[in-house]
Amino acid sequence: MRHILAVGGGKGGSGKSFISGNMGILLAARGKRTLLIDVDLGGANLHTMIGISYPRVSLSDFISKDVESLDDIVIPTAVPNLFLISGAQNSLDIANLHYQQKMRLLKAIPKLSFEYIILDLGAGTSFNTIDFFMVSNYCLFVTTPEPTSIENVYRLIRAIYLRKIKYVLNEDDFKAFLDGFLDRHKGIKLDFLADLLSMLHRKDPEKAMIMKQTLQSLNFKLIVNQHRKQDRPDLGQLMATLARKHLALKMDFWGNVSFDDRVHTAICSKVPFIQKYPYTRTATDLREICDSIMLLAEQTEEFQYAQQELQFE
Amino acid sequence: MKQFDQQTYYEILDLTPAAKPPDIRDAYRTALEMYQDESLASYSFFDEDERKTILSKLEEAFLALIDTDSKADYDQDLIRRGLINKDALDPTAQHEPILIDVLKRFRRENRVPVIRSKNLKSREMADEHLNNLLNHDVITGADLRKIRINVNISLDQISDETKIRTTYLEAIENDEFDKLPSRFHLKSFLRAYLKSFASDVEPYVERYLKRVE
Repeated sequence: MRHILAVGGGKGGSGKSFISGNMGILLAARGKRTLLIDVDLGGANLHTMIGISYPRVSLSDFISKDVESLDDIVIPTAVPNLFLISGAQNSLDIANLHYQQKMRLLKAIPKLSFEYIILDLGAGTSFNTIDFFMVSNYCLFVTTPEPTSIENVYRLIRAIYLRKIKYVLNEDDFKAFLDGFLDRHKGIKLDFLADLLSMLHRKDPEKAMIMKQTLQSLNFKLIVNQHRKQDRPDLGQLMATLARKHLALKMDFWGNVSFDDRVHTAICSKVPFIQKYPYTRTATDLREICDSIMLLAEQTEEFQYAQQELQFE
Repeated sequence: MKQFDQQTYYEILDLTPAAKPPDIRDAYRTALEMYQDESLASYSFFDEDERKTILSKLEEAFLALIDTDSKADYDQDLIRRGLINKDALDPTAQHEPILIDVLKRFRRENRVPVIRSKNLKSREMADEHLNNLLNHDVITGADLRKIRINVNISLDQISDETKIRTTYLEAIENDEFDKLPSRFHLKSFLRAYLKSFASDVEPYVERYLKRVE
């Protein structure tokens, strides 16, 4: 089974590429065939994070149709089991993908045969970024314990949330209903979901049910990165509780990653942090997150096998 | 999902109706930390008005629940409106332990396959063999070795599990009591050794040690 994990966070500099790169190395070290894809279109730098200076091929070759399949632009890394699709050397206008180009890429990603695929997403909440969240099995949000970063995470969560809602209400009559509703509500406010569900229930009870289930099936995980000693240790927990109580979302807090000045040193020397400083608090935090990813993947597999067995019966 | 102002005080504070004043105080404190003006977690989650609404509602909920009399009134009101069940107020009702018999009957009736590990099976076999030894007055190391080999457990496995050196385990089986550091060691090692494949060890320990005195 393929596990696609999207790493995003809204704000730049919160450590998305750092987390993605190190997770890739950890998963590969545990014998999992892992692929990192740098979909930070326009701001790709994941290759540097894992110590590859000049990738020969990159996503731009796929998008410009120089190569047919994504498999042709997968490059091996110095770490066994770890592969990379770089986003570097993109032509400068690639950040604004055409619809067809985007769809071609989105369809190709789930066809790759790797055990884990990690999508390193760019900052911002543009359409392009959110689409990549939609093709993944799990969404991992990275924030720092700063109001700016937290604000952007919430914005991103709401954008994904709204996209899901639009996706469920895709038919013509519901589209008009949703537009009217959004006009009246001006953003996702306190009683947004409760109102939406109750109005939808009056219109079409079955659709309301589907909506509720779809939103609950979103699988959000949260990491607080660059966590310093003076920061609240339970900040992530509080954020997860808020999302659960007010957006009816399942969001699990996966822990803090301690701040370490040596992250800077590692990135400057172009050696992955987890390899340069494996015996640090931060490295331990990263390994714990890797454990969480593998546990989640395992549970998902078990769940799916159970479902398949039910179908056979 | 309910509108915020239609939620009960318990839902707002994440409590159950059986909550006691200390729980209520804790829940209020946690909620304040989450919703207050300086809260990092919620500052960008709500706007000014929403925060005011929530904070005033939290205070209202806290004041109504922390006072025993007003809590009782509020509970009665909820029961009348059918929002909570009368039993929910009884703190003992929620933590009632499940009796082992009930669990067993549930298993029998639902025919959940009991997982039997290899370990369990061999333990059962070993118990059977050991039972036969109970007729004897004394038990030797050779008897024990025979059973151990019968149930297919190696000394290395036992050593792994008990962290006792294989040489000591061999000494137990060869009746070489002096190879062990002391009588006390002999007794405790023997007990650990037996425990790794038998359920009840004391009668055998006793019969084995009879020869040592």
